[in-house]
Amino acid sequence: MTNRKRTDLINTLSKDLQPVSPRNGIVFPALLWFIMSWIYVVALSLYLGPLRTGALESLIKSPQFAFESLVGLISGALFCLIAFQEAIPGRRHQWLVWLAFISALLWISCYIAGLSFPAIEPSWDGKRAHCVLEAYLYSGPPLIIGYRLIYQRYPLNSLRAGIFLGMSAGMLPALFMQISCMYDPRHILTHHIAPISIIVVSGALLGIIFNKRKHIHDFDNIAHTRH
Amino acid sequence: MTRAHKDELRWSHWMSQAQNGDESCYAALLEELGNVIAAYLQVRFGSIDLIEDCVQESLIAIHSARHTYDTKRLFRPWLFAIVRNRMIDLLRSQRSYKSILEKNASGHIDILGTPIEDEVNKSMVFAALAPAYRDVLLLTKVAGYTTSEAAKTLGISENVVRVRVHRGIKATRKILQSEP
Repeated sequence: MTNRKRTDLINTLSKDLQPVSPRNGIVFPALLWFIMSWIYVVALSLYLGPLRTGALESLIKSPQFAFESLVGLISGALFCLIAFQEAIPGRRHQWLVWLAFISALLWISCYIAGLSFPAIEPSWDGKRAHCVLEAYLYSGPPLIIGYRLIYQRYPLNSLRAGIFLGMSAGMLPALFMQISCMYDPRHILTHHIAPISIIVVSGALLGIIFNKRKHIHDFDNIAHTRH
Repeated sequence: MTRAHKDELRWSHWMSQAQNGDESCYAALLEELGNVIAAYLQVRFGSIDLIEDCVQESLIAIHSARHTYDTKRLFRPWLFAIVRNRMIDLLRSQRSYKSILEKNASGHIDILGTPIEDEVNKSMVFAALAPAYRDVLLLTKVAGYTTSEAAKTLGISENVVRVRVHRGIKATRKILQSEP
Protein backbone atom coordinates (compact mmCIF):
# COMPACT_ATOMS: atom_id res chain seq x y z
CA MET A 1 0.00 0.00 0.00
CA THR A 2 1.28 3.46 -0.78
CA ASN A 3 0.80 6.93 0.67
CA ARG A 4 -1.38 7.71 -2.34
CA LYS A 5 -3.76 5.01 -1.16
CA ARG A 6 -3.65 6.42 2.36
CA THR A 7 -4.68 9.81 1.00
CA ASP A 8 -7.53 8.19 -0.93
CA LEU A 9 -8.59 6.38 2.21
CA ILE A 10 -8.60 9.61 4.25
CA ASN A 11 -10.60 11.39 1.55
CA THR A 12 -13.17 8.60 1.47
CA LEU A 13 -13.46 8.39 5.26
CA SER A 14 -13.92 12.14 5.67
CA LYS A 15 -16.28 12.57 2.69
CA ASP A 16 -19.95 13.01 3.66
CA LEU A 17 -18.98 12.60 7.31
CA GLN A 18 -22.03 12.07 9.47
CA PRO A 19 -22.24 13.48 12.99
CA VAL A 20 -22.09 10.80 15.69
CA SER A 21 -23.56 10.72 19.17
CA PRO A 22 -20.67 10.18 21.57
CA ARG A 23 -20.94 6.91 23.51
CA ASN A 24 -17.90 7.28 25.71
CA GLY A 25 -19.22 6.82 29.23
CA ILE A 26 -18.50 3.72 31.28
CA VAL A 27 -19.93 4.14 34.77
CA PHE A 28 -23.42 5.29 33.74
CA PRO A 29 -24.17 2.51 31.19
CA ALA A 30 -22.55 -0.07 33.46
CA LEU A 31 -24.61 1.07 36.45
CA LEU A 32 -27.77 1.25 34.37
CA TRP A 33 -27.25 -2.28 33.05
CA PHE A 34 -26.42 -3.61 36.52
CA ILE A 35 -29.50 -2.05 38.17
CA MET A 36 -31.90 -2.97 35.35
CA SER A 37 -30.58 -6.54 35.34
CA TRP A 38 -31.12 -6.78 39.10
CA ILE A 39 -34.67 -5.48 38.73
CA TYR A 40 -35.31 -8.09 36.03
CA VAL A 41 -33.84 -10.92 38.14
CA VAL A 42 -35.71 -9.92 41.30
CA ALA A 43 -39.04 -9.35 39.51
CA LEU A 44 -38.93 -12.60 37.54
CA SER A 45 -37.67 -14.56 40.51
CA LEU A 46 -40.49 -13.29 42.74
CA TYR A 47 -42.99 -14.01 39.97
CA LEU A 48 -41.79 -17.61 39.71
CA GLY A 49 -41.59 -18.31 43.44
CA PRO A 50 -41.31 -16.79 46.93
CA LEU A 51 -38.15 -15.94 48.84
CA ARG A 52 -36.85 -18.49 51.32
CA THR A 53 -38.43 -17.98 54.73
CA GLY A 54 -36.12 -16.05 57.05
CA ALA A 55 -33.54 -15.39 54.31
CA LEU A 56 -33.58 -11.61 54.73
CA GLU A 57 -33.26 -11.94 58.51
CA SER A 58 -30.18 -14.12 57.98
CA LEU A 59 -28.48 -11.17 56.27
CA ILE A 60 -28.70 -9.29 59.58
CA LYS A 61 -28.29 -12.18 62.00
CA SER A 62 -25.38 -14.00 60.33
CA PRO A 63 -22.31 -11.81 59.54
CA GLN A 64 -20.79 -14.67 57.50
CA PHE A 65 -23.93 -14.92 55.34
CA ALA A 66 -23.99 -11.14 54.87
CA PHE A 67 -20.25 -11.14 54.06
CA GLU A 68 -20.47 -13.81 51.35
CA SER A 69 -23.48 -12.01 49.82
CA LEU A 70 -21.66 -8.66 49.87
CA VAL A 71 -18.47 -10.09 48.32
CA GLY A 72 -20.56 -11.62 45.53
CA LEU A 73 -22.36 -8.35 44.92
CA ILE A 74 -19.09 -6.39 44.76
CA SER A 75 -17.51 -8.99 42.48
CA GLY A 76 -20.51 -8.91 40.11
CA ALA A 77 -20.36 -5.11 39.99
CA LEU A 78 -16.61 -5.20 39.30
CA PHE A 79 -17.04 -7.63 36.40
CA CYS A 80 -19.76 -5.38 35.00
CA LEU A 81 -17.45 -2.38 35.25
CA ILE A 82 -14.47 -4.05 33.55
CA ALA A 83 -16.74 -5.42 30.80
CA PHE A 84 -17.89 -1.88 29.97
CA GLN A 85 -14.29 -0.60 30.27
CA GLU A 86 -13.39 -3.02 27.47
CA ALA A 87 -15.92 -1.22 25.27
CA ILE A 88 -13.92 2.01 25.14
CA PRO A 89 -10.34 1.98 23.74
CA GLY A 90 -7.67 2.91 26.25
CA ARG A 91 -9.90 2.80 29.31
CA ARG A 92 -9.01 -0.65 30.64
CA HIS A 93 -7.39 -0.81 34.08
CA GLN A 94 -5.50 -4.03 34.67
CA TRP A 95 -5.65 -3.64 38.47
CA LEU A 96 -9.46 -3.63 38.31
CA VAL A 97 -9.36 -6.86 36.31
CA TRP A 98 -7.19 -8.45 39.00
CA LEU A 99 -9.48 -7.09 41.73
CA ALA A 100 -12.54 -8.57 40.00
CA PHE A 101 -10.95 -12.02 39.73
CA ILE A 102 -9.63 -11.93 43.30
CA SER A 103 -13.09 -10.96 44.60
CA ALA A 104 -14.67 -13.80 42.58
CA LEU A 105 -12.18 -16.28 44.04
CA LEU A 106 -12.90 -14.96 47.52
CA TRP A 107 -16.63 -15.33 46.87
CA ILE A 108 -16.28 -18.96 45.76
CA SER A 109 -13.89 -19.64 48.66
CA CYS A 110 -16.63 -18.54 51.07
CA TYR A 111 -18.81 -21.45 49.91
CA ILE A 112 -15.91 -23.92 49.83
CA ALA A 113 -15.18 -22.94 53.43
CA GLY A 114 -18.92 -23.16 54.04
CA LEU A 115 -18.82 -26.89 53.28
CA SER A 116 -17.18 -27.28 56.68
CA PHE A 117 -18.34 -24.05 58.36
CA PRO A 118 -21.69 -23.02 56.80
CA ALA A 119 -22.89 -19.46 57.39
CA ILE A 120 -26.35 -20.71 58.36
CA GLU A 121 -27.69 -24.17 59.00
CA PRO A 122 -27.99 -25.99 55.61
CA SER A 123 -31.52 -27.11 54.88
CA TRP A 124 -33.88 -27.87 52.01
CA ASP A 125 -36.22 -25.04 53.04
CA GLY A 126 -37.17 -22.87 50.07
CA LYS A 127 -35.72 -25.28 47.47
CA ARG A 128 -36.71 -24.23 43.97
CA ALA A 129 -37.48 -27.13 41.67
CA HIS A 130 -35.59 -25.81 38.64
CA CYS A 131 -33.05 -23.39 40.07
CA VAL A 132 -30.40 -24.23 37.43
CA LEU A 133 -32.79 -23.51 34.57
CA GLU A 134 -33.95 -20.37 36.33
CA ALA A 135 -30.33 -19.23 36.55
CA TYR A 136 -30.03 -19.39 32.73
CA LEU A 137 -33.39 -17.67 32.33
CA TYR A 138 -32.30 -14.82 34.62
CA SER A 139 -28.87 -14.28 33.13
CA GLY A 140 -29.54 -14.81 29.40
CA PRO A 141 -31.45 -11.62 28.52
CA PRO A 142 -29.18 -9.32 30.59
CA LEU A 143 -26.17 -10.89 28.85
CA ILE A 144 -27.56 -10.26 25.37
CA ILE A 145 -28.72 -6.71 26.14
CA GLY A 146 -25.43 -5.93 27.93
CA TYR A 147 -23.37 -7.19 25.04
CA ARG A 148 -25.44 -5.11 22.64
CA LEU A 149 -24.61 -2.03 24.73
CA ILE A 150 -20.91 -2.91 24.66
CA TYR A 151 -20.92 -3.60 20.93
CA GLN A 152 -22.49 -0.18 20.27
CA ARG A 153 -19.21 1.23 21.55
CA TYR A 154 -15.94 -0.24 20.21
CA PRO A 155 -14.57 -3.21 22.18
CA LEU A 156 -11.00 -3.85 21.06
CA ASN A 157 -11.13 -7.31 22.58
CA SER A 158 -14.67 -8.59 22.09
CA LEU A 159 -13.87 -12.01 23.55
CA ARG A 160 -12.63 -10.55 26.83
CA ALA A 161 -15.62 -8.18 27.01
CA GLY A 162 -17.97 -11.16 26.51
CA ILE A 163 -16.26 -13.22 29.21
CA PHE A 164 -16.37 -10.37 31.76
CA LEU A 165 -20.01 -9.60 31.02
CA GLY A 166 -20.83 -13.32 31.19
CA MET A 167 -19.29 -13.46 34.67
CA SER A 168 -21.36 -10.51 35.82
CA ALA A 169 -24.59 -11.77 34.22
CA GLY A 170 -24.04 -15.25 35.64
CA MET A 171 -23.44 -13.93 39.14
CA LEU A 172 -26.76 -12.04 39.26
CA PRO A 173 -29.01 -15.12 39.66
CA ALA A 174 -26.38 -16.96 41.70
CA LEU A 175 -26.49 -14.13 44.22
CA PHE A 176 -30.24 -13.83 44.30
CA MET A 177 -30.60 -17.59 44.76
CA GLN A 178 -28.75 -16.96 48.03
CA ILE A 179 -32.04 -15.68 49.45
CA SER A 180 -34.57 -17.23 47.08
CA CYS A 181 -33.46 -20.87 47.02
CA MET A 182 -32.34 -23.36 49.68
CA TYR A 183 -29.12 -22.68 51.59
CA ASP A 184 -26.50 -25.38 51.40
CA PRO A 185 -22.95 -24.53 50.25
CA ARG A 186 -22.75 -27.77 48.27
CA HIS A 187 -26.01 -26.98 46.44
CA ILE A 188 -24.89 -23.37 45.88
CA LEU A 189 -21.60 -24.49 44.32
CA THR A 190 -23.17 -27.09 42.03
CA HIS A 191 -26.53 -25.47 41.16
CA HIS A 192 -26.00 -21.71 41.45
CA ILE A 193 -22.30 -21.06 40.83
CA ALA A 194 -21.44 -23.83 38.34
CA PRO A 195 -23.98 -22.54 35.75
CA ILE A 196 -21.96 -19.31 35.60
CA SER A 197 -19.42 -21.21 33.48
CA ILE A 198 -22.08 -21.80 30.80
CA ILE A 199 -23.00 -18.11 30.86
CA VAL A 200 -19.32 -17.17 30.55
CA VAL A 201 -18.96 -19.49 27.54
CA SER A 202 -22.10 -17.89 26.03
CA GLY A 203 -20.56 -14.45 26.62
CA ALA A 204 -17.34 -15.60 24.94
CA LEU A 205 -19.32 -16.91 21.95
CA LEU A 206 -21.15 -13.59 21.67
CA GLY A 207 -17.74 -11.93 21.75
CA ILE A 208 -16.43 -14.13 18.92
CA ILE A 209 -19.56 -13.62 16.78
CA PHE A 210 -19.62 -9.85 17.28
CA ASN A 211 -15.86 -9.63 16.74
CA LYS A 212 -16.35 -11.18 13.29
CA ARG A 213 -19.18 -8.71 12.62
CA LYS A 214 -16.89 -5.84 13.66
CA HIS A 215 -14.20 -7.06 11.25
CA ILE A 216 -16.79 -7.39 8.46
CA HIS A 217 -17.94 -3.83 9.22
CA ASP A 218 -14.35 -2.56 9.10
CA PHE A 219 -13.72 -4.60 5.95
CA ASP A 220 -16.80 -3.01 4.37
CA ASN A 221 -15.24 0.37 5.15
CA ILE A 222 -12.06 -0.70 3.35
CA ALA A 223 -13.99 -2.09 0.38
CA HIS A 224 -16.07 1.07 0.25
CA THR A 225 -12.91 3.19 0.02
CA ARG A 226 -11.61 1.15 -2.90
CA HIS A 227 -14.62 1.68 -5.14
CA MET B 1 3.14 24.37 26.74
CA THR B 2 4.97 21.36 25.29
CA ARG B 3 4.53 20.14 21.72
CA ALA B 4 2.88 16.93 22.95
CA HIS B 5 0.37 18.99 24.93
CA LYS B 6 -0.38 21.17 21.90
CA ASP B 7 -0.90 18.03 19.81
CA GLU B 8 -3.29 16.67 22.41
CA LEU B 9 -5.38 19.84 22.40
CA ARG B 10 -5.45 20.06 18.61
CA TRP B 11 -6.37 16.40 18.08
CA SER B 12 -9.00 16.55 20.78
CA HIS B 13 -10.52 19.67 19.21
CA TRP B 14 -10.45 18.16 15.71
CA MET B 15 -12.07 14.94 16.92
CA SER B 16 -14.72 16.93 18.74
CA GLN B 17 -15.47 18.75 15.47
CA ALA B 18 -15.40 15.45 13.57
CA GLN B 19 -18.00 14.02 15.97
CA ASN B 20 -20.19 16.94 14.89
CA GLY B 21 -19.61 16.10 11.21
CA ASP B 22 -16.85 18.58 10.26
CA GLU B 23 -15.17 16.99 7.22
CA SER B 24 -12.16 19.29 6.92
CA CYS B 25 -11.15 18.93 10.59
CA TYR B 26 -11.55 15.18 10.29
CA ALA B 27 -9.42 14.97 7.13
CA ALA B 28 -6.71 17.09 8.80
CA LEU B 29 -6.84 14.88 11.89
CA LEU B 30 -6.55 11.62 9.93
CA GLU B 31 -3.73 13.04 7.82
CA GLU B 32 -1.75 13.98 10.92
CA LEU B 33 -2.57 10.77 12.78
CA GLY B 34 -1.49 8.71 9.77
CA ASN B 35 1.99 10.22 10.00
CA VAL B 36 2.10 9.88 13.79
CA ILE B 37 1.07 6.20 13.66
CA ALA B 38 3.62 5.46 10.91
CA ALA B 39 6.40 7.09 12.97
CA TYR B 40 5.28 5.27 16.12
CA LEU B 41 5.36 1.90 14.37
CA GLN B 42 8.61 2.52 12.53
CA VAL B 43 10.44 3.16 15.80
CA ARG B 44 9.03 -0.05 17.22
CA PHE B 45 9.19 -2.42 14.24
CA GLY B 46 11.60 -0.89 11.74
CA SER B 47 10.82 -0.29 8.08
CA ILE B 48 8.54 -3.17 7.19
CA ASP B 49 5.66 -3.25 4.72
CA LEU B 50 3.26 -4.21 7.46
CA ILE B 51 3.43 -0.66 8.82
CA GLU B 52 1.49 1.00 6.00
CA ASP B 53 -1.18 -1.72 6.28
CA CYS B 54 -1.39 -1.09 10.00
CA VAL B 55 -1.60 2.69 9.51
CA GLN B 56 -4.53 2.31 7.14
CA GLU B 57 -6.30 -0.28 9.29
CA SER B 58 -5.78 1.97 12.32
CA LEU B 59 -7.35 4.90 10.46
CA ILE B 60 -10.36 2.74 9.62
CA ALA B 61 -10.61 1.60 13.26
CA ILE B 62 -10.38 5.24 14.41
CA HIS B 63 -13.21 6.03 12.01
CA SER B 64 -15.35 3.19 13.39
CA ALA B 65 -14.55 4.11 17.00
CA ARG B 66 -14.74 7.90 16.74
CA HIS B 67 -17.96 8.02 18.79
CA THR B 68 -16.13 6.47 21.77
CA TYR B 69 -13.61 9.28 22.19
CA ASP B 70 -14.32 11.47 25.20
CA THR B 71 -13.12 15.03 24.54
CA LYS B 72 -12.58 15.54 28.28
CA ARG B 73 -9.93 12.82 28.27
CA LEU B 74 -6.44 12.50 26.78
CA PHE B 75 -6.34 11.56 23.11
CA ARG B 76 -3.12 9.51 23.06
CA PRO B 77 -4.22 6.59 25.31
CA TRP B 78 -7.35 6.18 23.16
CA LEU B 79 -5.37 6.41 19.91
CA PHE B 80 -2.52 4.09 20.82
CA ALA B 81 -4.82 1.48 22.35
CA ILE B 82 -6.39 1.21 18.88
CA VAL B 83 -3.02 1.20 17.07
CA ARG B 84 -1.52 -1.49 19.33
CA ASN B 85 -4.63 -3.61 18.89
CA ARG B 86 -4.56 -3.33 15.10
CA MET B 87 -0.83 -4.13 14.96
CA ILE B 88 -1.19 -7.26 17.09
CA ASP B 89 -4.22 -8.34 15.02
CA LEU B 90 -2.21 -7.91 11.82
CA LEU B 91 0.72 -9.89 13.23
CA ARG B 92 -1.66 -12.63 14.29
CA SER B 93 -3.46 -12.83 10.98
CA GLN B 94 -2.53 -15.52 8.52
CA ARG B 95 -1.63 -13.04 5.81
CA SER B 96 2.06 -12.91 5.00
CA TYR B 97 3.80 -9.66 4.44
CA LYS B 98 6.68 -9.25 2.06
CA SER B 99 9.55 -7.09 3.16
CA ILE B 100 10.90 -4.15 1.21
CA LEU B 101 14.03 -6.20 0.63
CA GLU B 102 12.17 -9.08 -0.90
CA LYS B 103 10.86 -6.81 -3.60
CA ASN B 104 14.44 -6.12 -4.63
CA ALA B 105 15.53 -9.72 -4.51
CA SER B 106 14.64 -12.48 -6.91
CA GLY B 107 14.18 -16.09 -5.96
CA HIS B 108 15.04 -17.22 -2.47
CA ILE B 109 15.24 -14.61 0.27
CA ASP B 110 18.09 -14.73 2.73
CA ILE B 111 17.03 -12.41 5.51
CA LEU B 112 18.92 -13.80 8.49
CA GLY B 113 22.44 -12.43 8.79
CA THR B 114 21.81 -9.62 6.29
CA PRO B 115 21.83 -5.81 6.75
CA ILE B 116 18.02 -5.98 6.66
CA GLU B 117 17.99 -8.16 9.71
CA ASP B 118 20.35 -5.73 11.45
CA GLU B 119 18.04 -2.83 10.61
CA VAL B 120 14.89 -4.54 11.87
CA ASN B 121 16.72 -5.82 14.94
CA LYS B 122 17.52 -2.25 15.92
CA SER B 123 13.82 -1.43 16.22
CA MET B 124 12.43 -1.19 19.74
CA VAL B 125 10.21 -4.28 19.71
CA PHE B 126 12.55 -6.63 17.84
CA ALA B 127 15.49 -5.54 20.00
CA ALA B 128 13.53 -6.37 23.15
CA LEU B 129 12.37 -9.79 21.94
CA ALA B 130 14.27 -12.99 22.79
CA PRO B 131 16.33 -14.15 19.75
CA ALA B 132 14.23 -17.30 19.30
CA TYR B 133 11.02 -15.28 18.96
CA ARG B 134 12.70 -12.53 16.93
CA ASP B 135 13.93 -14.97 14.27
CA VAL B 136 10.55 -16.64 13.70
CA LEU B 137 8.68 -13.32 13.62
CA LEU B 138 11.27 -11.88 11.25
CA LEU B 139 10.91 -14.81 8.88
CA THR B 140 7.14 -15.37 9.03
CA LYS B 141 5.83 -11.83 9.50
CA VAL B 142 8.46 -9.64 7.84
CA ALA B 143 10.00 -11.82 5.12
CA GLY B 144 6.76 -13.67 4.34
CA TYR B 145 8.08 -17.22 4.84
CA THR B 146 5.61 -20.03 5.34
CA THR B 147 5.80 -22.02 8.57
CA SER B 148 7.57 -24.91 6.85
CA GLU B 149 10.07 -22.60 5.11
CA ALA B 150 10.85 -20.90 8.42
CA ALA B 151 11.21 -24.28 10.14
CA LYS B 152 13.63 -25.46 7.42
CA THR B 153 15.69 -22.25 7.59
CA LEU B 154 15.97 -22.34 11.38
CA GLY B 155 16.41 -26.13 11.59
CA ILE B 156 13.46 -26.63 13.93
CA SER B 157 10.09 -28.36 13.61
CA GLU B 158 6.98 -26.59 12.27
CA ASN B 159 5.24 -27.00 15.63
CA VAL B 160 8.09 -25.20 17.37
CA VAL B 161 7.79 -22.38 14.82
CA ARG B 162 4.04 -22.07 15.51
CA VAL B 163 4.59 -22.02 19.27
CA ARG B 164 7.35 -19.42 18.95
CA VAL B 165 5.21 -17.22 16.69
CA HIS B 166 2.37 -17.38 19.21
CA ARG B 167 4.67 -16.59 22.14
CA GLY B 168 6.52 -13.94 20.13
CA ILE B 169 3.27 -12.09 19.41
CA LYS B 170 2.30 -12.37 23.09
CA ALA B 171 5.69 -10.92 24.06
CA THR B 172 5.25 -8.14 21.47
CA ARG B 173 1.89 -7.24 22.99
CA LYS B 174 3.50 -7.06 26.44
CA ILE B 175 6.30 -4.84 25.16
CA LEU B 176 3.82 -2.45 23.52
CA GLN B 177 1.53 -2.38 26.55
CA SER B 178 4.38 -1.77 28.99
CA GLU B 179 5.04 1.62 27.41
CA PRO B 180 3.71 4.60 29.36
